[in-house]
Amino acid sequence: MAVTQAAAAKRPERDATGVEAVVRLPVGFADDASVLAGLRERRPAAVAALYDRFGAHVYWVLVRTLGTDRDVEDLVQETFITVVDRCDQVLDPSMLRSYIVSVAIRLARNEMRKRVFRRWIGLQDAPSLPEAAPHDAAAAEALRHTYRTLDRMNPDCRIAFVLRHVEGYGLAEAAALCGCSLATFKRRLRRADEHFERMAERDPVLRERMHGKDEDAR
Amino acid sequence: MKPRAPAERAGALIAEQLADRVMPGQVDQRHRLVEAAIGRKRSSRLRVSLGAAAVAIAVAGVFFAWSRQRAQDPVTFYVGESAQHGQLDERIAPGGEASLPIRFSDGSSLDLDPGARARVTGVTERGAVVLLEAGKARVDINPRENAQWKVLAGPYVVHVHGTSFDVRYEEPRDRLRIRMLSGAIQVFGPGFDAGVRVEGTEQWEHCSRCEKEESPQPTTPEPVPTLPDAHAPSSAHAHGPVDRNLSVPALSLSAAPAVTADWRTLLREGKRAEALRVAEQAGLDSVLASATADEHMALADAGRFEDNTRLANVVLSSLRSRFPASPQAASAAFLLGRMSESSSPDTAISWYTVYAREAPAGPLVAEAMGRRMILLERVGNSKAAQQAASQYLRRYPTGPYAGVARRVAQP
Repeated sequence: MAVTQAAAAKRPERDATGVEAVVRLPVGFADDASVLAGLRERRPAAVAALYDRFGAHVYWVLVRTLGTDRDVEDLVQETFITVVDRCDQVLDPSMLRSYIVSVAIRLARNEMRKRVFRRWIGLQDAPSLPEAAPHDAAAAEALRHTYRTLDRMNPDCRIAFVLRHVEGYGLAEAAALCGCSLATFKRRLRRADEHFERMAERDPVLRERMHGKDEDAR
Repeated sequence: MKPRAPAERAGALIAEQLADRVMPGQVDQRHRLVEAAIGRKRSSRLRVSLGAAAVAIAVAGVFFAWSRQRAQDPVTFYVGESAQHGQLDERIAPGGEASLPIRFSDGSSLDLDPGARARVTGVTERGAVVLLEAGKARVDINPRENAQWKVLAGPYVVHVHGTSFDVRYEEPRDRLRIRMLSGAIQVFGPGFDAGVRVEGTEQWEHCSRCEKEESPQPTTPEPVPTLPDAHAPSSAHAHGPVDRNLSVPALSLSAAPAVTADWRTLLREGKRAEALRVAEQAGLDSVLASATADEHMALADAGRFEDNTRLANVVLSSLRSRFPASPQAASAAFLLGRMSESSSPDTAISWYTVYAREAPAGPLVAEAMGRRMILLERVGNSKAAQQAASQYLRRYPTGPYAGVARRVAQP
């Protein structure tokens, strides 16, 4: 019976002509405010709703930042456990998404530092980039070369690069996500851009890709 | 217009290639998180103890990690019978009439037929990524726990865990043919981003640039077991956006000749109009009462492709009613939205809202959010449209509707 009721709740009502007119949405954690309230009450369903709302985004932000899907699932878990533990710090529900991303970014930075240390003691990570479907071989190759270049970048500069150019955040918002001043963020971003441009010039694949005809400019 | 800087181009490339989509193991991860998050009630004292313990074992941990990593080095590979050490990204192609083997250190192998070209583009301790540029290869992956292999061919990605199969890729037409020998694989490609499972001794083919009359065609005369009903339709259409592949030949699955012309068989043979006629003659209610969720989806697709939106509506509504918790139910909401767009934009807006709620990380959520925003603007609800545009931009700043969203978001 419960299933039948749930199904009915999701189905649109029909008017006299049989055309769907109104959709009754299921009651639950419909917005960030209700999710946050549920987290503060330590309701398991709120944790599940939090994950459903932001899980995939956090996963892909981490993949795009780290350039690999290796161990990212663990970092996603750590991100959400931190958010659940510290949900009281989020006073404005509209900031929940930014808070989650800022936690993920901080963990990504720690992870990058660990990876530098691992490389230093001779534990080189094998590359493991997820492929887009449909697959584009040329783009995938350029992507691998891009991350090889980013791997040589300072973690703070790399995060600035990703937040601005990949995630598309504005300067002020990105600075807030990094927990630094706007001036500091701009300085990191400038360093990152200069570093990337310099390294891309030395890489034949990137040089061709980055200096080819810009479709936007045509 | 000013050309984009290299950093911006690189950012756009990453955003495009690694865009948000369904993450692997999402359901398991959610369960794990709920258990972990709710079960955690650590006191500050315990935290101090844990911190001290972490410091105490740090040195031992480094050595343990080092020895563990050494035991889990990425697989290596050798090309040819002379066991020449292979290099990542190096093109491998047989020189003469004989096939050329690529042997991996975990016991897996890939034999390239004459005329084939491939490159190993990545290795991990769990497997490798092989790019088949053209031609045919026999892939034999040693089944291991957590094995992770990928074969890339044109726009297709084949995920392999432990299995044997022949794969042929014809570059000019983007045609991929697979002949399974054992095990199971999952194929992703244009129009079936959610993946298609191919297993047993099935044969599978997809062509994204062929003329309609060229495909589908059985590829070999060998008898092949019939694919289970639930697989054929869902794999082809369950999650694909509505109009994108109307002119593209669908998946071709070799199957035993039909004995009775029931609607399922006709659908698998691509005879959509006939399948719809048979289903309606048999009584749609009774047909739907015995149909699986995938079969609902296939029948609805047939209805949409044959411009029988009334039937498609009935079938999708039945699907949502009978299988409310299934992933197909969310897809059905999206399709109902698409079909309602011109006749009833408000209904379409509601369905897109339902889809976004039921599948917040679903493969069509960007599409649903974008279309909802456009429809809200079209019906004159500019405040809601602005809100939808802001939501879209926050989530998909470089998405396909980002341009429209920026315009709509401006007050």
